[in-house]
Amino acid sequence: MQILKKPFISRSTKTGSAAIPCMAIVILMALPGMRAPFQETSESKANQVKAVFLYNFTQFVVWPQRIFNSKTSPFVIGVLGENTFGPYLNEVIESEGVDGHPIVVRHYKSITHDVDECQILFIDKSFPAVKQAIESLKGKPVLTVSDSENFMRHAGMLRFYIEGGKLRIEINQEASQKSGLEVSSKLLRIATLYRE
Amino acid sequence: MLTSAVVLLFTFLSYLVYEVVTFRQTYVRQLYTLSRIISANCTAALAFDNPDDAGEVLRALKAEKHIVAAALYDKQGNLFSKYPQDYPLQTIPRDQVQFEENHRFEKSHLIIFEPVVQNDKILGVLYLKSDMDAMYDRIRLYASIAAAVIAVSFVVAYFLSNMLQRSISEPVHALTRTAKTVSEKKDYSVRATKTGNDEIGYLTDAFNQMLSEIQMQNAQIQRFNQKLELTIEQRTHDLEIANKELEAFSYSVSHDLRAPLRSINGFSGILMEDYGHLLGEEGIQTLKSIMRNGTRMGQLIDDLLAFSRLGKQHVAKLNLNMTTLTKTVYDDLKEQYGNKGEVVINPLPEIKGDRSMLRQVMQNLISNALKYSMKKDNPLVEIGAYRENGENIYYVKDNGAGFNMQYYDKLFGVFQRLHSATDFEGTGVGLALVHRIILKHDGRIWAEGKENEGATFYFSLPVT
Repeated sequence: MQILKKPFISRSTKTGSAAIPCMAIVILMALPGMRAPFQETSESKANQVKAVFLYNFTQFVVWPQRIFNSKTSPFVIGVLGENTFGPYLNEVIESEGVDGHPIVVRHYKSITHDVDECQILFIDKSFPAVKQAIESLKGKPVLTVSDSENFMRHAGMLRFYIEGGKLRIEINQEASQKSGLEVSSKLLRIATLYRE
Repeated sequence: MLTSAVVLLFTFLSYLVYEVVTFRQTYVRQLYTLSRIISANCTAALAFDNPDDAGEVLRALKAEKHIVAAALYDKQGNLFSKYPQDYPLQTIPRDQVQFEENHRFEKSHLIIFEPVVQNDKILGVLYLKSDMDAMYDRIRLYASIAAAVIAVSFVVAYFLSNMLQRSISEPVHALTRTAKTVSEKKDYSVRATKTGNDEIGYLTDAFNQMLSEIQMQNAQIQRFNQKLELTIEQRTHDLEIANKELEAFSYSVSHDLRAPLRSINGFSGILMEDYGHLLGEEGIQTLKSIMRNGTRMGQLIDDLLAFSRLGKQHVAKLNLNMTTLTKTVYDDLKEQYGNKGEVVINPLPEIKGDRSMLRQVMQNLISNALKYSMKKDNPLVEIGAYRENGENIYYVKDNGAGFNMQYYDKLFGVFQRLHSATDFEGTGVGLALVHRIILKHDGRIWAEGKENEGATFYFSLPVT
């Protein structure tokens, strides 16, 4: 793991120190010898990848501009239920932004009234009231993400699942469109489309 | 022919170079466009770790047959996906992967690096390697077109030049032949034949006109020449007659002058002998003066006769021993001038000449030398000779009165004297006579002198 701590490219200053864990994960998966089946890697490593993916969604999904009150309003990634990411998510989004809006992470133990202030809401699969959570955000431009298996049936938008030892994405395009979110065709292409 | 070929070749070469340069630029641009499209399509695959999708995108390159290889690297420079699947990629080690848009030509391949960017974030880099066969195909096409065009132009140029040769070169050759004939045979009556009314026709006309002019002028010159020769002949004849008349005249004048002079001298002598005692001292002195001048006049007439006779005389050339001749002359003169001075006679080379004439020369020069040096305390006369440029040069040198070089021009003139008759007697004919004799022998005469220091007279005679 020695090499992982040294950034391979010095030029990418924008990513800064937050990029290091992110890079570490990518290298981990990219190095052929280290591409072991996903089940065998630890739970935390899977969560690292999920954290990177959560951040990457900001690059491939377009939110309506009206959601921000001002130019300095934060871009909020919410985590509902148990925080399985540990420190990774914070490390990934540190000093990153979306169109100039700084990214912040908020944790919710239950469905509170300010959940709809998030732009991305990750609902942990251990959260009991997934359906209620989705319904409370109905029609609001919040990208709902979860690794819960029943998530799509409740009109969730993005679901992580594992196939061939790799983390994959399933998309409910209808749900995202109803919320006024624009998912990039590039993301659509690499994701599995959900059909009822 | 060669010129046009070279020009053609250069034109094609420059076009080829231009074509290669522009084609390379265009090709680089095209490949950049392609790589931008591919990299834009690979962003999600890189972001969400989906090499299969990236592989699918890269496989689309199959449509472009010149793409040899393509590879996608993630942010850390690790290989993410490649095309074709079995392409060995050891050609680009990790440290050669670049994250800037860049291209380079490498062993007839074009290599491009194009960063994969999503919202200003670099996700990885695309590597594209294309062969340059498209360019070589084009160069080949160009070369074959050039070869064909050059070949066709050669054939066309050959036929054209053949045709032109018939209409241009042939008349020019004919003209050259005529000119050669004229200059070799000096025959200006030859005329070139005119073949057409073009520039060469005009040239032929001008040439012929020039020939006629030369012919005409030649005839004129010849006429003038004949006329001139005739005139010269006439003049020479007239001159000869005039000369002869003049010589006859001066001879007869001199001759006829002697008769009355003899009477004057004769009767003066009788007067002196028979009536001398009656005349008294003054009368005798006057009579003596008359007799002295009469004698002098006789001498003058004799010299003049000798001089004019010389013109008619023929030069009879014989081998002469100049030493003996000089010694005889000196022996005769010794009686007249006495033994006062020293005379050195060096050995003199033999020469062909007229005995009596050269004797006259020696006599005049030696007597002059003795005459002008007699008044010195130690008179010295030296006679010698040396050889120079195929001539014998004889000289007579004295340490006498000498002369002023200022009056050198008058030295050899008839009746010209540089000294008064009271100081040195003489008629002024001697040197003129000598001059005439030497000229008759095809020789030269000259002198050097300085007043009161002496004079040297030289004459040269050709050795035959």
